[in-house]
Amino acid sequence: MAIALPNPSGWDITSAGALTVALDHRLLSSALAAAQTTLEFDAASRTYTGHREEDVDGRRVRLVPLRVGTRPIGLLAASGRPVEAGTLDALGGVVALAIERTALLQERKAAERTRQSDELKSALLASIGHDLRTPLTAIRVAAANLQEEGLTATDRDEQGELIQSEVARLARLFQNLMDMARLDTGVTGEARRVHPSEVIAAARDQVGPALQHHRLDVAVEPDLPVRLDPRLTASALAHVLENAAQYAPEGSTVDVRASVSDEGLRVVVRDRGPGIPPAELRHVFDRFFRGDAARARNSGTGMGLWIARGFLAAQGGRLWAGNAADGGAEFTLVVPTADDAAAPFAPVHDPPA
Amino acid sequence: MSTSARILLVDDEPAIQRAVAPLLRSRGYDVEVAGTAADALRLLAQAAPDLIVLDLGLPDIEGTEVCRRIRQTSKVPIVVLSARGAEEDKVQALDLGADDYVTKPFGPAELLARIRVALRRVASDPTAVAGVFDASGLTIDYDRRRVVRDGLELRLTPKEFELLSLLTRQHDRVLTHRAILKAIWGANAVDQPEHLWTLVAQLRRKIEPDPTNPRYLVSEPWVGYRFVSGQT
Repeated sequence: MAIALPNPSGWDITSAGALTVALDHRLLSSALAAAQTTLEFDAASRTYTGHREEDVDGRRVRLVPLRVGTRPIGLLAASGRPVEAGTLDALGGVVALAIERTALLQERKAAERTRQSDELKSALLASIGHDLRTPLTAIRVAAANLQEEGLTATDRDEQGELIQSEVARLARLFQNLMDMARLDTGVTGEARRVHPSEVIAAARDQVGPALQHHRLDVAVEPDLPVRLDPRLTASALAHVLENAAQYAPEGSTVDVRASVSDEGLRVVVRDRGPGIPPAELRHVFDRFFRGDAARARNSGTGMGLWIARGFLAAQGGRLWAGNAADGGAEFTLVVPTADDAAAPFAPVHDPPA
Repeated sequence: MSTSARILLVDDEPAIQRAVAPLLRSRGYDVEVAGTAADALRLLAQAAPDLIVLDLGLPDIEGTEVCRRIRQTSKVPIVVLSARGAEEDKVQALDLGADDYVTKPFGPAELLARIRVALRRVASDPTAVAGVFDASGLTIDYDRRRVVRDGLELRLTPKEFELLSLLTRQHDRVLTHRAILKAIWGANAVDQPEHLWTLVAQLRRKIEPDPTNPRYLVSEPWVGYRFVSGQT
């Protein structure tokens, strides 16, 4: 038995059974062409026209058109024990339907992928459009202000500071875009032994001035060395901290509780903000999703938490969100201890189970 | 310079406020700042500004709606700040009574020029048809309906003269396609821009030294036309 399907450059042939014969492409093409022109029941031979019998390598091979409706899409080749023509037609019909269905599914998947990538592109443009325009305008005007003669020293300092902070904002946006591109092309964790306190310190460093108006209360218990990718983990934590700084009121405390156990490293970040509205909980890790509060303030890009989850997933870790019993959002990161002999983690970006 | 005109700057971005407010103050304007539409409408009543610089992307009320509400109570000039690509918002804001716009990221010179032109709009009466207008090299005598360029009199059709008068009486200010169509052909013509394209092309052939590279009658893509006097 073999199924032969035409492709733009020849034939795809899938064989099954104990005996396989080499099917000549020209023979297949002429059989298919014949099947395209005729569709009648031939009472004498009790077959549908379009069936053909050929000798190939000394064997009798019957070629049966695979039809979707009346349209032939390929050929079924049968040899060996004779099977009734009607049975082969019925079999051909089932095979043709299955092939057609698979092709349709593939087309639909491809269309879906195109649509998703288009949506992603417009979401990206909308997100970075605003985040580029504002700092660029501020920097351009502030730089011109600095050239003014009559500026007081205080004003001059203030304009200088403004330029610095807007450049920092552009740098963060740029970093997010780079991280996102990395995740899209695939990230692999590189494990080494580190102390959790070191990872937290690196994350604080990365967040920098975005956290200057909040108090960070850090406790690591126990601070035992764990084997994980410190850069990816610190980056992920930094995005979670930045998110807390974004939503929690200035002057409030953000708790960071880290612990090491058999499951690996667990870090819980809890803020004193308004918490996450139940309707938004499902979406906080969606790319470009911003909470109503952030949208109202025109702040945030909706990239950070998506990146954080991606960096953790790249080392088999997880990140999820909830609300603390007495208010405030609570994010939990878990990174499993990497096995010394373990193969590198596959680059994945899946939601947690 | 028209010093001590009071400007209300409305933008929710602290970075924009921190850069633009000192810019305006350095040019002698009094500046009030609002971060929301609600604050802006309150300050409009309290501070009686001479001009409003209005960002269209405010958090509480849509920018075009803010324009509409300001116009319900006030004729104060409005210069709109908007994003590139948001042409529909700009046109809508202009049709709702905004005077002009700048696109973010804008430079200081651009914003200051738009503000000067918009402030002049209230100082002079645009409905006055009398007098002579002089734009570097081009002279328009509204009373005698004569247009002279570099000493040579140009022969304009009545519609061409009408378009030129409309644009020069509000020179350096953008006029939307819709506003021009309505002023020259009436309300029924606002959805027929072909009239305007043809007329603009005709007029450019007569008044522009290089019609393919216009210096007076400048297109603002997707929005409208602006007569550049070279005087701002």
